Amino acid sequence: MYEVKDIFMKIIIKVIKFTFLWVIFYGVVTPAALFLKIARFEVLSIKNKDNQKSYWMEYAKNKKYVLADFYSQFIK
Amino acid sequence: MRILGISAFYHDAAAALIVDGEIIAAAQEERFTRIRHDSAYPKNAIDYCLTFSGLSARDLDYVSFYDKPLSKFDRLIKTYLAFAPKGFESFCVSMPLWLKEKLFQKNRLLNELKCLDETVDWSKRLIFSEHHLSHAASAFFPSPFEHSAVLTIDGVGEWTTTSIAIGKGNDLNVIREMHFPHSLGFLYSAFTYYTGFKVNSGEYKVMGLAPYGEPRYVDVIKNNLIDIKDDGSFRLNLDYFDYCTGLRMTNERFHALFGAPPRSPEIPLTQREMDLAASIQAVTEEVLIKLARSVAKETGERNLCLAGGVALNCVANGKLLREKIFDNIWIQPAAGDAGGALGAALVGYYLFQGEHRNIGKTTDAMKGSYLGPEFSQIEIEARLKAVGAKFEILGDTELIDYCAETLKNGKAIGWHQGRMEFGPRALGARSIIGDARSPSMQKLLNLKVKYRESFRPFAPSILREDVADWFDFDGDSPYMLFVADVKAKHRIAMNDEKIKLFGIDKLNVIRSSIPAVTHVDYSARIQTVSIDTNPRFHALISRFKELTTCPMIVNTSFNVRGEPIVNTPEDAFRCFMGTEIEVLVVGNCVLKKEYQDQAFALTYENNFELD
Repeated sequence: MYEVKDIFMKIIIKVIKFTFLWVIFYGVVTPAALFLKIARFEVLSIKNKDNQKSYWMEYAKNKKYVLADFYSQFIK
Repeated sequence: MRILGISAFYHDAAAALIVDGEIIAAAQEERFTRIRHDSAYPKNAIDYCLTFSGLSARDLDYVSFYDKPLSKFDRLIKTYLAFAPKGFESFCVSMPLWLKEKLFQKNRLLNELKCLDETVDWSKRLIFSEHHLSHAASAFFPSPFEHSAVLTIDGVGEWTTTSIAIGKGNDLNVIREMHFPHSLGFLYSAFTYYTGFKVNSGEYKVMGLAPYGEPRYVDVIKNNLIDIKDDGSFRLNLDYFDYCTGLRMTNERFHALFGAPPRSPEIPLTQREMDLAASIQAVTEEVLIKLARSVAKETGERNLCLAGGVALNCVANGKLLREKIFDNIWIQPAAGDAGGALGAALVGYYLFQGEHRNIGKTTDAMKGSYLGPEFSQIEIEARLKAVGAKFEILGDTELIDYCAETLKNGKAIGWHQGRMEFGPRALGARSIIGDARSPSMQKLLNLKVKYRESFRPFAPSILREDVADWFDFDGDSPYMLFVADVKAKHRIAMNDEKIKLFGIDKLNVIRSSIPAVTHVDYSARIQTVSIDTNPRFHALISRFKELTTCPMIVNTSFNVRGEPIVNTPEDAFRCFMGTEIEVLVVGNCVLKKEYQDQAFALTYENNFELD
């Protein structure tokens, strides 16, 4: 009986952890990221052979990263 | 101005020290901890850099870290958000690590630096470069070029996977980039994984396997996996890959495309894997050449510097050189993340501080990449005695004569001399060397010394002055980063029966008068040896040439499979006693296997996790 209860508790804890992480990710992190404007929903998967001639991006010289200002930033 | 550069926490942690623009010391942490590709904070490498230079920690003006961890976190979060709800399992694995450790890397670094000297306010001295900028700096600033285009290609830094920069004097500006998840490095790693090798360490095995196969999957790759534009820019079709959201490189759709699941490690290779290797190699070369052409066209530069892990693909580098898109190409020998430490230090010196740059007219600033620890003869003798080794001491000339004669007699020598190399290649400081003319040397070294896969080729170290006579190559390749073909006059013609051989059957055919270093497609990964950068190694090969007329020897790294290259005399002795190397030379000490206490013999091949 003790072992069954122990296993049952472990399953419950795992479910709680899973649910908690899920809630945190979608309920907290996602809205926070959107609010702080550090998220943008890009379509990262591409279709082959679209009409662009080049996939190069210009280097963003004055990039700012929210939260990254905690670091002593050296960006030229 | 003294700047310490650090790379850590991803793979190949390292430290590098520059003083007034001169590279003083650099080393990878794995060589000290004996953990392959060790990613831990490089405490030992840092200690070495300071000890070697005679500096204390407080003498450092700046400490420069090679990338921006929060920008990496930015990429991770955005990737999870973009693919959600897919990727939750990966999220659960990575987020605890980030939330507990990686988000606080700045604090971690500050705490570690405080351990070096707690009286210093390190927060005023700690700066952060960008990943690709570190790579680009590691390639441009030590190069002999006043100005150059710089192409950096790797798996991923913070966001960037491929970048173009222009270097002029003491300035370096990144002008273009491509972002994760579209990564040539990851594409190659996906095939590394799929063919049953380890990601981040097996890529050069795929490169070595390619000549055994036919590139029959190139169209499949180009029609389904990657869209390559004329300027070399590309995008991957993420429908076939798992690395954004999963814990593997490839997914079921990828496996179905090529008709089978990934090969399990240590299962025998088949023609399929060889053909896959040949195909991804061909695609990688095509992308690299197109990128180089567009860089040349856009920048107008005649010099090119390369860095990033993909720059270690020396077969592609050799093809690029032969295309003659650029007049000169220089590649950072530590092109992977270890070199990021050096690049970070150089970013701090030239870009952050704006210091003047002195350029060597004919040579680069890497000092042959011999930047690691060395041991005096007195130290060597004491250390070898302490581990119970039996040795004799020879004078310089006697040593060279003995070693050349030993090589001529077909024996392999463990060769431990001078300062250790910085970067993945052994360049005659921590090498196992052999007779390039021997038909059995490749088999002997693979099976009985290195304990590694039999298909893997070995590389020649050749006197610089003789390279054009033996290879379709006339230039400098001091860091073993270019592959070229053996000259036709040294090849052995094959009959029809041998020409028809496929796959691994090609291995046993003798193709040239230097079979130990001639790969199945007549290619060789060349190291040119100059008297200026490694006089003792040059003297050895010269003496070997006098005895045999052959101006080159086999040079492979002094380690077994899965082990970091040896660092100390003790490491060398252990590897010597754990393999079938018959002679070990450390400094002027000569050790012969038959005189050693066999109680020190080890079953060495199982000591390390296979790479």
